[in-house]
Amino acid sequence: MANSVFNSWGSEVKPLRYGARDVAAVVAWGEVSVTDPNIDIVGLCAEYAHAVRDNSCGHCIPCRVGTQVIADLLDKIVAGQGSESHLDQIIELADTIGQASFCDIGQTSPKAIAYMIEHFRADFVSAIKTPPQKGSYAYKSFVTAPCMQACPIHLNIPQYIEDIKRGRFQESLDVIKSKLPIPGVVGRVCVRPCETACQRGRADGALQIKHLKRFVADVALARQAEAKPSSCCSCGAAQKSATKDARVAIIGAGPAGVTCANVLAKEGYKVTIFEMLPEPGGMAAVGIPDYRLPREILRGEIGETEKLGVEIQYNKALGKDFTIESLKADGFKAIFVAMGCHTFKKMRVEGEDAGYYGFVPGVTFLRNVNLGRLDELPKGKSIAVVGGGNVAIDCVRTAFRVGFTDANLVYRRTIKEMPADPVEIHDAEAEEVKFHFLVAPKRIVAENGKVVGLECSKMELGEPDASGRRRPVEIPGSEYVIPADVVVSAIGQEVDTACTGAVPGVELDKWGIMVVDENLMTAVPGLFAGGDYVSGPDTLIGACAHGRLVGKKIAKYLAENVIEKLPEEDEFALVKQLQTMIPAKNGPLPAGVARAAIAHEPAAERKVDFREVDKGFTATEAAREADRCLRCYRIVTCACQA
Amino acid sequence: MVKLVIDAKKCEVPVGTTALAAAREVGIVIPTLCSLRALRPNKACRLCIVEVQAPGLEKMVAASCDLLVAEGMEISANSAKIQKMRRAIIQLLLAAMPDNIAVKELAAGLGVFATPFAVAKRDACALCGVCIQACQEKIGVSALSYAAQGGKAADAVILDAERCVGCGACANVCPVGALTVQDKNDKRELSLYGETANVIDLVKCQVCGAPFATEKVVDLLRQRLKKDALTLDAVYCPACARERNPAPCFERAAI
Repeated sequence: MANSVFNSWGSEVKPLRYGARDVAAVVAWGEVSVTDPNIDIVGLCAEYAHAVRDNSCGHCIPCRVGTQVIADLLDKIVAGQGSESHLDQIIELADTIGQASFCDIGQTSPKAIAYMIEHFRADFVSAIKTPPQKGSYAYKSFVTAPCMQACPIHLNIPQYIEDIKRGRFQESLDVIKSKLPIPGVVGRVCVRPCETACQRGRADGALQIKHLKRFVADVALARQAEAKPSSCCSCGAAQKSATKDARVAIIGAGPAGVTCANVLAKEGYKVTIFEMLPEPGGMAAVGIPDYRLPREILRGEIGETEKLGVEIQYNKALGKDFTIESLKADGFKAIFVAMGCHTFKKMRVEGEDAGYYGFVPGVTFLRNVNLGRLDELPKGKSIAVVGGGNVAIDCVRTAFRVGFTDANLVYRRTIKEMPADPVEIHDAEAEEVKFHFLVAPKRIVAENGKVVGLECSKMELGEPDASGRRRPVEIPGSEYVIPADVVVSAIGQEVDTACTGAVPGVELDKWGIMVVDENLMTAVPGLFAGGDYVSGPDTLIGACAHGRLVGKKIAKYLAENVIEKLPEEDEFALVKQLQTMIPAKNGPLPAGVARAAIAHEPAAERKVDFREVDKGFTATEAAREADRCLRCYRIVTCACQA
Repeated sequence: MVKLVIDAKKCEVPVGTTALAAAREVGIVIPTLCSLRALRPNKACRLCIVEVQAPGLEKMVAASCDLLVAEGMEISANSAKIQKMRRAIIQLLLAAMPDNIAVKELAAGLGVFATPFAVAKRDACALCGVCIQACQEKIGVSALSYAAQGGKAADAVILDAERCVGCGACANVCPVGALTVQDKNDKRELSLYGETANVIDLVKCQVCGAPFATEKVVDLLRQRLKKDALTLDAVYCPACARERNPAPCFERAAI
C-alpha cells in the first residue's frame, strides 16, 4: 500500500472533493495526487490506463497501440499473471508514447502511469506475487481540456474541431447542438473564453474557435436552403409535441430561456415561454446590433427550438400580464425566471434626470434600433456614448448606421482597461469612432431642453481598485465640453426587480433579486432563476449554460422529485480544484501555421448599413484552421470511497 | 529564408518549410509512413519524429512533418534516442498488423524484424487516414471517414459508396495497400480491406475508345469546369486530351 499522502508535483497535499465526496486519489493529465494512504495504487493505475486507452482517438500509432499494450500489461499484473519485466516495459513504452504522440492524451497520460510504477514499485511487485484485494473505491474517469474547462457550457471543443478537420461538418454541429441550441448565434457573438485558454496561444495564436462554430452552423443553413423548403431544421424533424404531462413556464425568450426550453422539449415536456418583447432572443435580439448578429440567424435558431413543440407567447410581461403565483395557479409544475438585465444603470451626473431631448440610455437606444423604432430615436448628427463595455461600442457603431456622422466614445480609463472585446474596439476604430480616454462625464449640457453636449473632465489613473484596475482620479480644472446632439449612457445594466414583486417563500437579496442556491433553485421547490437575472450582465454563453443546467434539473425534478448536481458539474469542479494546484505549463511552443485571419466588409462601406461585418470561413479555410488544434485532451481518473 | 542546422548540416530553406522537407533538401533521410508532399501534414505515424532545439525553447521531440523551421533551430534527425523511439513505434505498428508487407519492409529498414508487444485486437490498416485526407483535401468529396466500431478510438476506415466518385486517389496514397483499385470489364472496382467497397461504370474516350475514368469523375469535373465550355461535351482520355489541347486544365479543375 502507498503509505503516504503525496502528489507528483511535490507541493503540499490538499484535500479534493468530487461532488459531496472526498477524493482518495486522483490521476490528472500526467500527475498523481494521493490523499488517502490506503489507496490501492495498482488498481488506480490500471483503471487510469483503461480510461486512457478508451479515450485515445486512434489516429496516431504510439497512442492508439501503445495505450492498448500498457492497459493489457496492467490487467495482467492486476490478475496476478504479470512479471517484473512488464513493469520496465511499461515505463520505457510510456516514455516513447509521451514524447512521440500527437496530442495531450498521449503526451501526458503515460507520464502518470510511469510515475506510479517508479515510485510505488514495491506495491506493483507485491501485486504481481499476490493479486491485491479489490479496494472499496469507486473510480470515475472523464476527459477535460483547457478550452472545455474555460467554456461556461463546457462544449466538447476538440471533438467538434476534429470533425471539421475531417470534413464531417454535420457531426461537428451535432456535437455543439448536444449542449447548445444556438450555435450560429454563439459562433458570432461569443466572448470566447475558450480562445483565451487555447494552448496554441503559446505558439502562434489561439484557434479561431468561435468562427469554426459559426462555420458549421452556416454550412447547415446553406444545406437547408439547398434542400427542399419542406424539410425544416437541421434536426430533420417536423413539429414535435410533448410526451409528458407536466408543463413548464419560462420567463424570457433569451439565450437562457431558449436553451432551457430546448433541453426540456427534448425530454418531452410541454414548455411555454413568456416574452415581454414582440421578438425572441432577449438581449441577443434587442441588445446586439444586426451587423454583428443578423436577426434571421437568431430567429432561425430559436425557431428550431419552437419546432420541438415549445410555445413562445410574445408581449407578455411579468408583473403586468401574469405573476409567478398566477403561473403556479395555471398548473405549471416548474418555473424558470430568465428575464435578463434590461434596466440601465445611472451615471449620476447632472442633467441625467432632467428629461432633455437627446439623452437616452444605451439599452433603450439599441432596443429602439433593433425593434425598428427609428422614429423614437433622438435626431442629430453627433453623438457621445459614455462607457467602455460592449454595449457602449455597440451604441457608438450603431450610431453611424442610423445616420450619425460624428460618433464619440467617452471612457474614464484607458484602452487597456476597457472591458469591451478587443476585436470590437478594433472594428470601431476602423469605422472612425472617436475615442476619448481618461475622460469622465460631469454634466449633460442642454439648451432649451435639448442636449447640445457633454461636459467632461480629464482623469489620471491612480491606485488599483477592488477590480484590480487602476482607479481614475479627476484632474481638477480640466473640464471641457464635447459637442453632441445626443448623449448615450452605457455604463451597465441592472435587473428590473419591480416586476417580480414579493413571491411567497422566496428570499430576495438587497437589490430585490430572488436568491437561488447552487442548483439555481429558489427556496420554493420548482422555482428556478438564472441567466443575467441572477449573474448580472454577463456573457451570452454563460446564460446558455444556466439555461441548460436548469433544464436538466427541472427534468430530474419533475421525473423523480430530486434536485441534484449533474455529474459534469462535479467533474468540472474537480478540474477547477486541480487547476489551482498543478503547476501550469505556460512557456512558449514552436510556432507553425498562424491563426487564420477573418475577412471583413470594408469599414467605409459597412458603416452605413446593417450588413454583417465579419465574413465566414470557406470549407478549405475552416479545415486548415481546424488542423491547427493541438487536441489538449486530458484524462482524469479519481477514486472516491464507494 | 531561414537558416538552421540538421544533424550538423547547415541548411537554408524558405519560411514555411517543414523540418521534414528541409532534411530531404540536404539529403538526410527521415522515415515516414504517412507523409505525402501533396497533402497537409498527417501527423499519424510519428516515425518522422526528431529532437528539436529552437532558440529560447526547451529541447523537445516533435514530428518533423508538422514542424515548421525557425531561424537558428537545431535538429537531431537520427540521434540514438530518436532511433530507439522509432523502433518502439514500428514495433507497436507491427504488433497491430504483423502480416502487412509494407509495414514489415518499413520495420526492416529500421532494423526491426520482430515485436515484443502483443495486442488483443489486430488492425486492418495503419489508420493513418491519408486516404481520408486525399479524398477531402484534394478531391473535395469526403467519401471516406474513420469509424470507431469498438469504442471511441478509430479502428477502421469506412467508405460511403454513394459519395465516392471512384477516382482512385485513396488507393494511390494508401501506404499499406489497404485500399486497391482495379479496372476490368468497363467497371472500376474499389476494394477496402480486401472486400469490394464500390463498383462504378467507366466511360470510354471518344477518340481512342479506351475506358479511362468513371462517369462520376467526369460529372464532377464537368461541375468544376462549368465555366469552361470547351471541355463540357468532349470526353477524352488524358493522352488524347493532351494531343488536342496541351494547355493544362487540372488547375482549372482544382477545388
